[in-house]
Amino acid sequence: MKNSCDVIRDLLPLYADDACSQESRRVVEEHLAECPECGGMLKRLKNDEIETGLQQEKEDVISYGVRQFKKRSAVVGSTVSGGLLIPILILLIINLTVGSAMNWFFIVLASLAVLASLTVVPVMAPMGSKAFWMFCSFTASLMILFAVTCLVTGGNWFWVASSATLFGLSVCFLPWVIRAKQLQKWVGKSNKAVLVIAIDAVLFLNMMNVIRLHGSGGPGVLTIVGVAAGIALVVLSILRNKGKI
Amino acid sequence: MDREQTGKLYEAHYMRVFSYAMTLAGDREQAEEITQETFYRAFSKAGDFRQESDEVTWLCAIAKNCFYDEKRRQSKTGPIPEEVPDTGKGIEQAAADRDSSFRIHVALHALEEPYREIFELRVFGELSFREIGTIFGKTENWARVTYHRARLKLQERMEAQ
Repeated sequence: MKNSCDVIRDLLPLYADDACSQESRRVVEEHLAECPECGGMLKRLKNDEIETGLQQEKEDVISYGVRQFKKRSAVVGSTVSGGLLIPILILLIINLTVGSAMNWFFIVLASLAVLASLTVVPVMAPMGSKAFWMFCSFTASLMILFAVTCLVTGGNWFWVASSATLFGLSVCFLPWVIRAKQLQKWVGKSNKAVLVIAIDAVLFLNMMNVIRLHGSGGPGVLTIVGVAAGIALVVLSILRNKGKI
Repeated sequence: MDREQTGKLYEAHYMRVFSYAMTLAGDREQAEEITQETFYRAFSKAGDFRQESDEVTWLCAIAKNCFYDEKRRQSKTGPIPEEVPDTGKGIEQAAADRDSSFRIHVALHALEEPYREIFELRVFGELSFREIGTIFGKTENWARVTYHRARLKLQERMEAQ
């Protein structure tokens, strides 16, 4: 049975891509044996010069784009870092020449680290995790700043300040931070709300506890139980998530 | 939409802007720089990158601005002497390659929809026919057939030049 060229031409793309049934292939090949026009069309279908050329071009263009982007980020990152280095060097020199203890040098260094966490880290962090790394580095550098300042000035307010700050930061940012890729292993898809509430509760009770201790009241039974319960909840959620995997 | 598909669409968008920049600049190095600058400006403005088809129109508008900004800058400082890249192919062959690439992009730009978009999604984005079909709300077969029609049209136009 001779099939019309129209039907065959409908099938040809499938045939050229090797995506048609055995039956269709047989029919097409039978037709091709006798029809040079359709044979010509098949040849044109198989001619992928243009596509190959474009894809080779694409490889070059995309890798150029990636290189340029990395270059730009590196330039911005190193400029800001370099800028921060200047006050550090100046302070170091002043301190050494004046000859006094290095105390406040470390305080300034720690505050510059906080600044860097807000400026350098977002530029250098990989796309998609910028917020996560910025948050982590900001929190860490802030804690270091508190610690260094207390050590240098002999203050005893480190625990109060840090527990309050941690609580505040977690209330504001934890719902977003907990979605980060890096944490997915522990968090999973359906645990987020529980974990956020549990962590907020732990940090709140911890803060209240610290304040009581600071005011030289003993740790309250309720707060200790609360902290323990919160930690248990966090651990259970993580285990539940692991169990699911 | 998973990350792999997002990456493919990003590459498709990037190359579609590059293709448009080629039709403007005629020169690959310039087109690469324009595309880079375009995405840099786009990220600075929008921050978040959403993949919708009119996004490409917006990006191409930025690309056009980049192109004219560069032209204005060059007309002030005088044309930068063009470096001929040493690809070992010989100057004539390199020039011929660049010219044919320019002609391909011009022909592609002139192709009607949906042929042009399907061709670009397939060649630049390396999307599967099923993915392309889903984007248009049609079947995998429709995507395959339309893609091949697009290719043949492109071949015809190139031969006619």
